[in-house]
Amino acid sequence: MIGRRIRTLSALIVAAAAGVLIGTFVPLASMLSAGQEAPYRAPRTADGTPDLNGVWQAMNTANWDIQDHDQRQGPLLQLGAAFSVPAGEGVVVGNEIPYQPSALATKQENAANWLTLDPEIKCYMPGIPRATYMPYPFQIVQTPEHLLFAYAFANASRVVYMNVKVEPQIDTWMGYASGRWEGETLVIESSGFNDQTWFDRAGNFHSDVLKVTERYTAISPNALQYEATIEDPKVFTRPWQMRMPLYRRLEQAPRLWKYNCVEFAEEVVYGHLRKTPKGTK
Amino acid sequence: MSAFTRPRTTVSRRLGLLRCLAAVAVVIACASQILGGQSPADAQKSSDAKKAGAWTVPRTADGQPDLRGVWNYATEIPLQRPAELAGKESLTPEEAAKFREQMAARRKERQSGKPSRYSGEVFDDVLAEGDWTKRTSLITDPRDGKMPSITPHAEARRDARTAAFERPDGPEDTGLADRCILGWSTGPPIIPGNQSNVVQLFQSRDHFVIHTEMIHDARIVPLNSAPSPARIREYSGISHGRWEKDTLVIETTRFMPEGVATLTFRQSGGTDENMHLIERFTRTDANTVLYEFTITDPTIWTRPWSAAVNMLKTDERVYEYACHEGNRSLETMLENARAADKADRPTKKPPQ
Repeated sequence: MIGRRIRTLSALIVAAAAGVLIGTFVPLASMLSAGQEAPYRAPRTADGTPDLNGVWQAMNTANWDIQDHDQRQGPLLQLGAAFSVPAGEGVVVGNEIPYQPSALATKQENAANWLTLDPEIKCYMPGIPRATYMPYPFQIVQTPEHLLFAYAFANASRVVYMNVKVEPQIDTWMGYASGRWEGETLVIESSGFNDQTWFDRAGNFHSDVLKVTERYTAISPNALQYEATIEDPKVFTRPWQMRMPLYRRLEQAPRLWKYNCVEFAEEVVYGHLRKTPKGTK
Repeated sequence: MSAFTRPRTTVSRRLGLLRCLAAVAVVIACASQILGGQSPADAQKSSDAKKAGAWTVPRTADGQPDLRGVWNYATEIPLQRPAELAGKESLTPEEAAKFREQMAARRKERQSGKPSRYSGEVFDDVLAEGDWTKRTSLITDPRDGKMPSITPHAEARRDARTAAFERPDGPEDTGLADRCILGWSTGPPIIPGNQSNVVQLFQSRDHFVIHTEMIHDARIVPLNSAPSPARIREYSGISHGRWEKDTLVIETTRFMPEGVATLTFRQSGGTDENMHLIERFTRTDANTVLYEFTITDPTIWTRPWSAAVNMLKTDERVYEYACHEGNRSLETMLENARAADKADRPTKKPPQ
């Protein structure tokens, strides 16, 4: 209690001094709101970097729609309430996605033809950042030079090269990822994507010049703040951001149970080439 | 750009089936050519280093033996010893040198642009750096270098699956590798094939990861914990690992009934849900990880069997391997089968 008061007090003094020095109240206001508690400091790995090892998962409805959305009937009437869409807060900062006019038309067309166009339905690797907030967990395994991100969905994975600029050589589904630590924050810059992945089931999309800058910051032992800045001058008029918390899976020894979904997509992809339609044999 | 450029997804899958079949064929064909040996330099490296006392096992910051890095497990040593080399566990240096010359000539011919199944294959480029020890089979037990005989149940299963594969009614009648559910060389267990023989090993304090390039499989192995009590099966099985001195020992069970794709039904009747797999990773020198495995699957083989592969350090990266995303091969196989139905003829064989 006393420690916290002293910290708050010293924050106030520093903030007031800064306000006087800089001659503005903006830093004072932001330091006051942030200064209630010292920022969380994550435990360290043996090499001294913040330890983000673990199985993580988003808890939101962003995979349905990264923007605010009302509840609506799902695409298969037989599945009733089990596969309809709950209302949910979006994860786009400010809720607006700055589409160029022609790109907005494409987004709407994607949404209208979701069942045939969404790569998720075919069990394709989901790309970044969608892999992060699909309703499945992912696991981070940290080493000083390379971080492995393994995602349950479609068995997707990517390697993050630390402190090295990785030059994309060909287009990929999961991108080429270069990482660095900025204090408590893991920053990952990715490019070299193809134009085949989407952001959600609402048809939000990007082109092959997509650049994603992700920031992972531990805010408590069991939660990360996640931010993804999206840059794609072929599709959007300016960069925009997603932000959401990610939660640690707290089972006793959490494992990443894989969702090797290929076999569930075979009917969609190859059904027309079957000798005997499925279910009639 | 890397020495061996990985093609785009559609290209890399285009000949998927052919490669599956060819992986077996090329190993047998190459092995039957074994008359000569090789430079023993690589094989000697390990013992030289030990003699010099210059090398000790590197350790991670956590104190574990350091297995991290990208490793190339390409080899032309066949899984099973060819009949003409029966009784011969290794080649003389002269035999090995001659064999290596033959393989170099063969690679040159393949790369000459003459159309063939292997034109432009990535396998050839990495192989020169691959494992050149003098053994005549990867199988170390039984001593004859061959898989033990299979059970009558496994024979019946193999025949049924082979027949279904001849003219598949649907994807299920083809193999797990053809369907891009598992890779055909990545296991578990890992058995070298004709491309993408590259694996990146990761270690944290509590986890070991076998990240194979083929089919982008990240097998995450918890270390030093009890096996998971969850009654769950996965295509790659459920693994847990422990250190035995400086060797990492991984035990894997709870496979799916379909088995794994490295040991296909075309070879052995395939593995099944009863496979009990032990894998061992040992750093033997600065450039080598010795990978050994033992398979016990009593419903398939009449006794356990073991094999060993040297994995050599490489500066290469593990690239994204999009398999299902560009699987034109399976589409073509099914189209071929439906065309054969219509014409009432056997399915076309792939070109030789």
